[in-house]
Amino acid sequence: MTQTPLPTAAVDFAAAPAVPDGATIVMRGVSKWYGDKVALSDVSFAIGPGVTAMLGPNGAGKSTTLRLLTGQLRPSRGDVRVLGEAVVDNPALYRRIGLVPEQESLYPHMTARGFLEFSARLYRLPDPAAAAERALNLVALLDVADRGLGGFSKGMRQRVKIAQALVHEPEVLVLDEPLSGADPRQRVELMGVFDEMAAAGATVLISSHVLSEVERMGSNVLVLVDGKLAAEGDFRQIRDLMNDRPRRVRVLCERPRLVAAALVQLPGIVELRLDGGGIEVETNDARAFAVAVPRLARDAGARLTGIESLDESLESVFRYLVE
Amino acid sequence: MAAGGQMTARSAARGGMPTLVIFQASLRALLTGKRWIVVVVLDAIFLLLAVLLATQSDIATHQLHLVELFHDLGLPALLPFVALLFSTEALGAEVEDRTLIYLTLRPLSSASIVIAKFGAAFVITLAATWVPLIVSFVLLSLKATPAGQLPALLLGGAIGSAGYCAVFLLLGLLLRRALLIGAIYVLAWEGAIASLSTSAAHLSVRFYTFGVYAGILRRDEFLNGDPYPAPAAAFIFLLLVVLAALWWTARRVRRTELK
Repeated sequence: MTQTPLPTAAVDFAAAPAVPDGATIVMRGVSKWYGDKVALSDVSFAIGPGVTAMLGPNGAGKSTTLRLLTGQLRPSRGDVRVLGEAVVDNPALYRRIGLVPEQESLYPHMTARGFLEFSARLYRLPDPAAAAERALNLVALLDVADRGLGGFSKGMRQRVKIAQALVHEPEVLVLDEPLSGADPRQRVELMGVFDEMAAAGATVLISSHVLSEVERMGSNVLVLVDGKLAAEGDFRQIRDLMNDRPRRVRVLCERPRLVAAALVQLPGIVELRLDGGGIEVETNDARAFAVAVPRLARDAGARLTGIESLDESLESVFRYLVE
Repeated sequence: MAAGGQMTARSAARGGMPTLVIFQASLRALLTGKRWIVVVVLDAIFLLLAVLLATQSDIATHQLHLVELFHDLGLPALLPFVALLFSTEALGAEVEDRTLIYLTLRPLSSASIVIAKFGAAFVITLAATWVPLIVSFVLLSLKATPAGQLPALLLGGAIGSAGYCAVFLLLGLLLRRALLIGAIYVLAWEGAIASLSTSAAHLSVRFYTFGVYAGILRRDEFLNGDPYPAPAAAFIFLLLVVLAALWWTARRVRRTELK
């Protein structure tokens, strides 16, 4: 998967109005309110080709953001641009965007193939039948292509939704919970499809609450909390910026009690406990800790077998951000 | 990554124009469903009355009965309810089940979506209303002296259907209970209030439809002194109603919240 590196912290457009090079989706100072309820508040970000995951708890503003990005909603304030163009009232832009909506419903009177060909015709593709066939093949639905959508399971409907978003080979693909209902094997296959699109230069924006899957698809994230952008960029780099959060590390070594006694003397240690065959440590100074551990283990006559970070996962970063 | 591919004249012809594609799909969708039970019942009642009038009344009164049938049942019930059933469904069903997004998020103008939906509702309403109108004309004109009723029935029915379809299409987009609100409009406004007050009648599709019908028929002896607008004015008014309703629908179709 190719990722175009973009700013790893939320972009302050007021201070830096220029859009980063290569950005395909840009929101600047976007707010959206419904009556007196604020759904999004002054959100600005820019993302480029590659897979980006949009994360956030329920009610954080993810769906509102996706709707703004696909022109289904008009921002109350601010500017939304996709591929350099305004989205609202710009149907021509839909030729370059694919959307997998959250809702499950499809036309029950159509077959999967019929629906895909219908979509291809609305995109005015030169060969709708071939485009439908290709999209059905991508989501592994060719064997049921001529069955009515009314009888499809949730997972099959989900794949049809993905196929209709891919049928015109969009440059920007926006997916709202695309893997819900898919079984584990299908999830892996679909993630492979998104990866391939990203590798081919497309921008893939995925809203999902299944963090383990998001993590497997890439490291670029947008985190929304209470209608505001809490973080943007590579989640590992975001973790690095969280200086107020101690690092949790597990040290695997021989003679753990002896090593632990030495480790507890290090500056920045917040908590230390023996955990099975290893030592679990919370430290405010991960760099100094990493340098000191091999030396302390050697001094204690213990063989060091491993050091692993316990909170560099996306889930940990996400938990820290939304807490 | 290729964005969709370039459209050529030949490819457009092969893929079909989007408006036509939506029209065909909508027509197929409207051809199924339980609403047809109500439509068939309405058609059957209309035809049953035509049969009764044809067999039980004096031949000399058949042409008058045909006018009465259109005036008393065709206009107040058959046309508006058939149009209501199909037109509110044409967009309303997609708003309700949230599939409208598969039209609004395509590179199409709002007008092409709305024209296709209106076209499908209108064609199917026309088919479901013209059949009983033609059959009743045949039944009541077989032995009677023809009085030029068929053009009046068909054109009056068509223009009235267009007016109702456009209004109810908009209703289906804007309101969740469009069928109920539409039925209240037909029964309470057109059926009760507009029949008691001429000024209220000026705000009803039925009034102008009857104007077009009467203008084509040109047989005042059949019209029982009922007031009706000048045919040209009625036609223009209905045309304006259709255009205004379609314009409003097109304006709103991409702004409808799909909850």
